[in-house]
Amino acid sequence: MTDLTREKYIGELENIRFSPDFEDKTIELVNSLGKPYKTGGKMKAILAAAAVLILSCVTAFAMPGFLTARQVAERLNMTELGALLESDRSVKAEKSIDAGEYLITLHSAVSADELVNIEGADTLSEREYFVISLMKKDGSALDNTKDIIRFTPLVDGFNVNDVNVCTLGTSMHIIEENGILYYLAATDSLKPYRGKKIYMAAFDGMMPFGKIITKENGEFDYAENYEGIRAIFELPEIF
Amino acid sequence: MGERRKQILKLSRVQPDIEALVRNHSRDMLRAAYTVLHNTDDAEDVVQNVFLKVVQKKPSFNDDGHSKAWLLRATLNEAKNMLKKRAKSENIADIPDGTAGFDDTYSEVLEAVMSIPGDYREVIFLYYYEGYSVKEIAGIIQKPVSTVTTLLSRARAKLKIKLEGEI
Repeated sequence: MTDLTREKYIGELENIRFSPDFEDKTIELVNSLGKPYKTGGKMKAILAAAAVLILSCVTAFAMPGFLTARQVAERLNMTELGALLESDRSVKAEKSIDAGEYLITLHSAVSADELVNIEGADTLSEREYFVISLMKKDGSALDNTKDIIRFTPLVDGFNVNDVNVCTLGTSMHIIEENGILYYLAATDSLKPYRGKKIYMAAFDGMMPFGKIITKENGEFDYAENYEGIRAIFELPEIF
Repeated sequence: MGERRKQILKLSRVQPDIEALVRNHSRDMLRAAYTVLHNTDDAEDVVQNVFLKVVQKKPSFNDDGHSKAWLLRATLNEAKNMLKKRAKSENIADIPDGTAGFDDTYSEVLEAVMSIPGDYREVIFLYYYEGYSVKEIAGIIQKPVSTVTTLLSRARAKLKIKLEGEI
């Protein structure tokens, strides 16, 4: 399009008349459900830089007082997903990464392709689920409203700016129990990437991701000047 | 953790930021839905459905750009679903006729855009109205970058013919 034509197109699209009170009516509608919620959340700058830490370590993770993946889903009113996370179809990863003063654990993962009535698995096509927890190693409590880090899926062979938490339509539900934060991540189907290594990387900071996570020598790593939390899980094969 | 802490968390999770999402993004979402449906009433229904899904699904967004991309993708999907259902039940093809909701001014370019197939309209909207890059569009509509490039190229060619060389 020429600049002139583009301007015309934008102007003509702007000219379309919708209901003048559409926003008010929509807000009234969603509030009438009684389920207003808080989106996202301000993120606390959690850590000063520690040594680069990308661990594919496996740490036994069986402590009393922790929620199971099923319990996490159930706390979020996703009972069917909870049962699935506990079923034989799920992968019980239970991998922990020591990330400075934090311990991040990937508990369980499952592909929910075949479920049609599962909460959240609708036309928005969120099909792969991962349960991750974040805790302080010194036992002090984390605050769901402040100590929030983020996670992004990464796929081997794809630039981090092209395949990430945004492009994969990842939603993240977070709950807190006994000072531990539990994340239930839901992504679009990862089946198109079958056969490639898929990762889940923790980060704090602002996008673009390319300034946080880089890929040098064929492996994902954090940028040298990035000073946030560092932990990258290689995800289990779940298909 | 005592009950007091739980109460604080519970209270903190019910702050209705949904209002900010509606105020910030419904305008773009309506136009995205209209691009697919060519009908203002249906576009409004679609956008409200998307916000109801937001309430139901409680997604977390990293920032405003993330929420906008998520909402636009959800809107386009929802609009296409509505189109499919309508075509199935009414046995009609693609977009409905009519220009309800237009201003009195002649909408030459928009009419040309609305006359090309839906996949082309979608990328034209995201590229020229929203200003997304080809890579970003690929992420939003979940198609490879090469496909988006092809769609954009073919859409431009079709528009060029329709607008007699103006594009």
